[in-house]
Amino acid sequence: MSAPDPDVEFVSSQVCRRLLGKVTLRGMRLAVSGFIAPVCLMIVSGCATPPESDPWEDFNRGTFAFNEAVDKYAFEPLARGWDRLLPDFVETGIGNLLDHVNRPFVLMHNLLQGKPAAAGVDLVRLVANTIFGFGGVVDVASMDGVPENEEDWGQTLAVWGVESGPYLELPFFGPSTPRSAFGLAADTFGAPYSYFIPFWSSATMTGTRLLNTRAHYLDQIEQERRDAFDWYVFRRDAYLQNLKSEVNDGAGLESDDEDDLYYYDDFED
Amino acid sequence: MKTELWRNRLAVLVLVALVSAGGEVSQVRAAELSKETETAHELVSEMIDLVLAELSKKEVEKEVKIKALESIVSEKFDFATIARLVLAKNYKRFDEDQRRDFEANFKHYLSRFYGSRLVDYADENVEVKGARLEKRGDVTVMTKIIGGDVDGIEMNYRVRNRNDAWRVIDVTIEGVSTVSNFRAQFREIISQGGPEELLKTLRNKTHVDADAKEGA
Repeated sequence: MSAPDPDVEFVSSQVCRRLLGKVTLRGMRLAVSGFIAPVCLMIVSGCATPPESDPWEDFNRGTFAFNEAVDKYAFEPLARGWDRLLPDFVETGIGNLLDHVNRPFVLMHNLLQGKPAAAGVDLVRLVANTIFGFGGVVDVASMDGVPENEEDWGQTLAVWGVESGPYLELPFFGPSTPRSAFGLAADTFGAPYSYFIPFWSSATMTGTRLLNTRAHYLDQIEQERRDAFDWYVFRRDAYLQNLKSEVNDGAGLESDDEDDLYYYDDFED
Repeated sequence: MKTELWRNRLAVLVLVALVSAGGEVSQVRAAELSKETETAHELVSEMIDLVLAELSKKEVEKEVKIKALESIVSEKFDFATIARLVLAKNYKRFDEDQRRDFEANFKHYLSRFYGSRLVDYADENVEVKGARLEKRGDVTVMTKIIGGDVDGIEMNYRVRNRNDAWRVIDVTIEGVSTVSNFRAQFREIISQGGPEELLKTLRNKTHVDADAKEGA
C-alpha cells in the first residue's frame, strides 16, 4: 500500500472536512449529506486513503448514532412487527421476488464487467424462476444449486478501476463508501423502470427490501450488537472486508495483507 | 412444495448444463492435495462433524449444547496464536501478566462467541469444498453452508501447524476475517485507554456472559 503524499493528503482532508463540516448538521441535512459526501470525493480525488483508515470517523460516528436511533425507535420495532405478522416462507417469498425483479440488472452488470459466463447463470436463474418459480416467488434455481450472483453499480465501478474511497456511513442505508453510495443512487434512480413507474412505488420497493432484510437478521444483529466491543468498528470492518472480497469475487487476500494479518514478524518483541 | 417442483429440476439442470458448456465453469480442484492440505482438511472435516453431531441432538438443552460446542472450539483453535494476531503491534504494550490475562479471557470469550453462534443452526449441512496451501505453510480449508437460513454462506478456516499440531487460527465468513475484525475493534479501544481498558472491557464481556448463563 503506497502512502499518499502527506501534503496532498493534508490539503484534501482539509477540503473534505470543510465540505463535510457544513453538512454535519442534524435533521434533514443528514439525509442530504449521503449524496453530498460522494460528490466531495468526485471533486477531491485525493480523499482516497488506505481502506483501513477512517478519515471521516467523526462524521461517520454522528451518522451512525442517528442510524442507531432510527433503528432502535422505528426500524427494529417495525421489522419485529413484520416478522411476527408474516410467516417465514412469506418473507422468503418477498425476498425472492425482489431479488428476481433485480436480476436483469445483475445480468447487465455482469456484462458491463466482462463476465459473460456469470451473465449466463443470471439468465438461467431468471428464466428458471419465472417459469418454475411462480414468477420469481420460489427460488427453484437455488434449490438446484445454480449460484446466485450479486452485482451492482458499486461493483461495476470497482471493476472499472474507480477507487472505493474511505468508509462512509449513510443515513438509513448504513455502511457504505462514496463509490457504493454513488452506485446505490445510480441503481435506484438509473433503473429503467424508475421512469415508467411512480416514485412512491420504487420507494416502497426499496423500503420493503430494507424492512424484509432487517426482519431476516433480527436475532443476528441483536447478538452482534451485544458481542461487539465497538459496534461501529465491527460493522465498518465487516463491511469493508466483505466489499473487498466481493469486488475480487472471493479470490483471497493479497500478499501484503496476508503477511500483515497472519504473521507477527512485524510485531515480534 | 419441493415434491411439486422435482419434475422441473431436470429442466433447470439442462439449462445450467447448456450455459455451463458455453462458458468457463469454476470447479474447485480437489486433486493434488498435498500432505499438509490433507491433514488440515481432515482437521476441519472432523471438527465440522463433531459440531453437526452436537447440533443434531434435538433433546439436549441449549445451554448444554453451547457448552459442548465451546469445548470443541477450545480444543481445535490455537488461542495463543489468535491472541497475538488480534493484538498485532499492540502486543508489545502488554506485559507478561496482561498477556496471560488477555489470552485466558479472550479464549473464554471467543469459544462462547462461536458456541452461541453455532447453536442456532440445525437444518444446515456443510460442504467442504477444498483446501489451499498458503505460501508460508498455512492451509485454508474452504467450506460452504448448505440449507437453512444461511444457505450458500462461505466459511473459510485458516489452519496452522504449530508444535506438531494443526489448529484453526482464523475463520473467514463471506470474506470477513474474524481476526481482522477483532483487531480493528481492539486497536480502537487500546488507542483510547491502553491495554488495561481492553482487559477491563473483555472481563466485563465474559462476566456478562457468565451472569446471563446463570440467569438462563
